[in-house]
Amino acid sequence: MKRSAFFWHMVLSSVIRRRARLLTALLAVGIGAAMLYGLAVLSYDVPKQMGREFRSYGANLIVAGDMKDDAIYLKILHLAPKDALVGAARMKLLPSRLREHPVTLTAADFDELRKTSPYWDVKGEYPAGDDEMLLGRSLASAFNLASGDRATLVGADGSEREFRISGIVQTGGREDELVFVRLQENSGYDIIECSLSLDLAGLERLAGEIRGLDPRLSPHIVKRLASSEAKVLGRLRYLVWIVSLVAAALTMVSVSTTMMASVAERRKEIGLRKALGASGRHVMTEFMAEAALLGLLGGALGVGAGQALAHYVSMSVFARGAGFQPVFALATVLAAVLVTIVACIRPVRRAAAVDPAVVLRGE
Amino acid sequence: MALLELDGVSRVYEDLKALDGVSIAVEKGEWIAIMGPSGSGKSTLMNIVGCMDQPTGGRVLLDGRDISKVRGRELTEIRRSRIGLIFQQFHLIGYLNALENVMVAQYYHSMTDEKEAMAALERVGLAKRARHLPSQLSGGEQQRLCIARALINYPEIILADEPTGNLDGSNEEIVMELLHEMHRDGRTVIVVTHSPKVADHAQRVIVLEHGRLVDDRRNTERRE
Repeated sequence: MKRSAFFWHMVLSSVIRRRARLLTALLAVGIGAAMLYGLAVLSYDVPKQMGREFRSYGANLIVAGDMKDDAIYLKILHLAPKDALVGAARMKLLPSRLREHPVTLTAADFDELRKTSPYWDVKGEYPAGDDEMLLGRSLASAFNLASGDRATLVGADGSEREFRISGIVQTGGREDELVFVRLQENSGYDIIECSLSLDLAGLERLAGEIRGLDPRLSPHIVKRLASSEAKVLGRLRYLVWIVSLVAAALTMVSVSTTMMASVAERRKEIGLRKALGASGRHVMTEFMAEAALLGLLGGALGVGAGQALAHYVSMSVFARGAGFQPVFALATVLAAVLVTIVACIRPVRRAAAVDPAVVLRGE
Repeated sequence: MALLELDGVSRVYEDLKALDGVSIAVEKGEWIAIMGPSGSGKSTLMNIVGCMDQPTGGRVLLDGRDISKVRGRELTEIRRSRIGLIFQQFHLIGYLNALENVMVAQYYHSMTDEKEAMAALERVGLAKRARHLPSQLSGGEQQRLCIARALINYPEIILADEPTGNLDGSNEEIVMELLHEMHRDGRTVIVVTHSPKVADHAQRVIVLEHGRLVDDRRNTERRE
């Protein structure tokens, strides 16, 4: 057996054959690593999941302008990051009258509207044909209309058109005062409501790019949503950092205490090694290698436990599993090795200073 | 020139004088027994001879070189290359098997050689127990393993601290015979003991009391 092979053999034997004694340290590293990895996965995954949740509160970017055809719409779709775009609903606002009362008729792309505004409470159905309308709850009450009734709208040019009411929409917002019909192809539109899983900076960047397409376009970020989202996610990340630091500190304290106990317990062995000719550096290298191995094993165990923890939390809160993140796993194992080594510096220095004469004194 | 010479060696721990002006010359190939009651300074003398401690006064000459002022790595190097240690408490590493315990001494000395370590175990009659952990060996076997470890790097000086202190009669005989073998091989043997029976094997007996040398005599009725 070569000298280097024997070194690792000694280190492995110490860890494997003394495993019962190292169990506390291994558990400390494992729990710390599980916290680190689990929180890292959640902090990566939760913004995505939270973003999806936030997207159910409606569009967060509104583009206004006189858009004659689909060219601008397609360009905006092209600019938006594919995995961030939840939906983009085109709308055209037309002044109209219902029973002599002025109302706003909104021609909308319902397939996309369902994606951007999943919170709409529709009693009945969305309009399936061009002769159907969706009536806001307030208007329905005011005119005593219900799903299945028929109503006639008078356009700005005086033209009359009869629609069947397919459903009543209630949002608690201005939609309750509107009338919705299907948007005709190539009829042009003046609003695009976009729902995007982007943070405030991402939305601002996209808004700038849209403005660059055509200066007459007016992109408007719904700050109420975007800033709430940013605040919640910011606080969540802050929490993750704090908990991770606490976990790392607790791991260091625990590992350091265990290693300190190990050095005290192995004082005679260290003295013997030095009596046999080991230098302080030999002893330090051996203990550090043990610490690194402990960190590696604890880190690997922690990644397994952390993945299970992140998956469980994600399933419980968002009903979606958390995927394995190899980069985080590698980083966690490296962090576990590093934290264990740092925690062992003091005990190892103490070990290196053991007097070889302790073996002869029979202490 | 003596292999080892202690010239007026003193060792003071705060207000305790553990050794007080001890002068001894040890020739190459000599077998010496150091005797004395508890607290007489035997262990202190062993630590100094074993390069694990330095005197506070006097000189220690090894092959004519004063090592009393040598410190740290250099002292470790002298201990590693020239001295083999045998302990009363055996001091084996519990999680390494017999073969590995011998190889540890090789590891700190130079290179590890499994065949050579196995030959050392064979020499002390432990070849069949090579893969056993110390806890699976009897007291006598553990001391024989300790001897194999002390022998592995061919040290000039064998320093044994109460080598039979924890052994029964039959194991004591085996261990003493192994010390005789080492001595016949030309090694200098220094044994610290309470036992007159063990001291009878030495060519020369040195007696310490209260840190002072009180007797240094040739053993005319030596057990061979």
